[in-house]
Amino acid sequence: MEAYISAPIPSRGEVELSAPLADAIVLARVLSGDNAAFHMLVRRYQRPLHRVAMRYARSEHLADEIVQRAFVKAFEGIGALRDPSSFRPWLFRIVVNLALNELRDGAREVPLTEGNSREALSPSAGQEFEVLERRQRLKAAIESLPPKQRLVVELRVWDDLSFRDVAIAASCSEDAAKVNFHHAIKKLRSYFGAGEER
Amino acid sequence: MNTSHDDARRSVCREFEDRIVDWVAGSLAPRNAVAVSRHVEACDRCRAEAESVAALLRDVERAAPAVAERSESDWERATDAVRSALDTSARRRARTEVWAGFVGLSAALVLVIAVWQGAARSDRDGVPDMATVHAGPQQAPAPVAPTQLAPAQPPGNVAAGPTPRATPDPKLRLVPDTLQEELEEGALDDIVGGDSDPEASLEGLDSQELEHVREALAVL
Repeated sequence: MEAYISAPIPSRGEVELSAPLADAIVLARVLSGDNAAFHMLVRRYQRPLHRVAMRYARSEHLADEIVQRAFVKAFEGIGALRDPSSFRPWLFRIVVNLALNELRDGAREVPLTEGNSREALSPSAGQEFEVLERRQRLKAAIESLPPKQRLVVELRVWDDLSFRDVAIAASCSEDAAKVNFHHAIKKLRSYFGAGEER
Repeated sequence: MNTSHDDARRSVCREFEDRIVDWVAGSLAPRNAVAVSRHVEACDRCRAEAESVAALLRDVERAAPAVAERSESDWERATDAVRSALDTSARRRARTEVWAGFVGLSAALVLVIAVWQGAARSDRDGVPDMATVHAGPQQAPAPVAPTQLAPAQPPGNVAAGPTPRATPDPKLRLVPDTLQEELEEGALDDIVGGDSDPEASLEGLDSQELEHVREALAVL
């Protein structure tokens, strides 16, 4: 059981995220006038940010647009970033804010097509359908959470951010992030029943 | 005996129950995490609860919306678009900085010129501009009685002996120094006739000139 504590929720590994130290080195170059160094950060974070944007925009084109605007905003406001180690959650925050603005202003959200959850389904057809249906219900339950709880769960579990980074990205304190996460999981358990998870 | 033991155990479980989610999520402080960990190891019920929460978190993780597969060339295109937007932003920022520098430099230059001109004018005239405005024409001094030139005494001032002459701050004086000196040295007597009757010296003036004289006296 100790593993629950020591092993963080594993990342999906599709994009290798850098250590904050690596970001700090690149940021120092950008701040000293090397604009081209910022392109390294674009390469590093474009895909994870696109994934976040897709959760709200749900269209490739709009997600690309949000990510592009987020990078420009980050580039223009980089001088205001006091702690270089916060760059990653700061970027996430910009994307989340832009995506939420898009949702509010344009209501351009398009429902995802059924069945495009991240993990490939391997079991037999009957089981596959059951698993798929459960994931869809779980996803719908997550989306029905209060906005802050939803955001905290998504950033922590889907984007693999630490609670410290979740707090920065969600514009709240670390304690508030933990409390929101706690309530969200409790709520999800109540939706699905304590013994239903497999 | 067993019943009371179970009750006690349930009570302990209730104490940890609420913290199991946080323990599984790794959000507890180390000291609390160790306490929950010890309890979970010893308690089958709480261990099952922890496993259930962990399973839910795994399910949440798997329920993440899939990002549609994109070819590398699609990503390259998106990256190029970001680069292009960044280059535009950098150029705009550079232009803004140049303009800001130019405007700042111009403002500084204007300020320097204004200060320099002001200093040059002061040197040329020898008097502050304000004093020149208020002093009126110096060529038409008025014959006034010494008592009229004396500063007004505040009401109720009954101090005996000569009132010490206040030395006003030169910056605050409206009467130019040159005119003040002329008044003090009796230079104006030459103009108005020295010891002659002051009233007589006004006789040749018309009403407009008399008005000038009154204005000059009012300033004094």
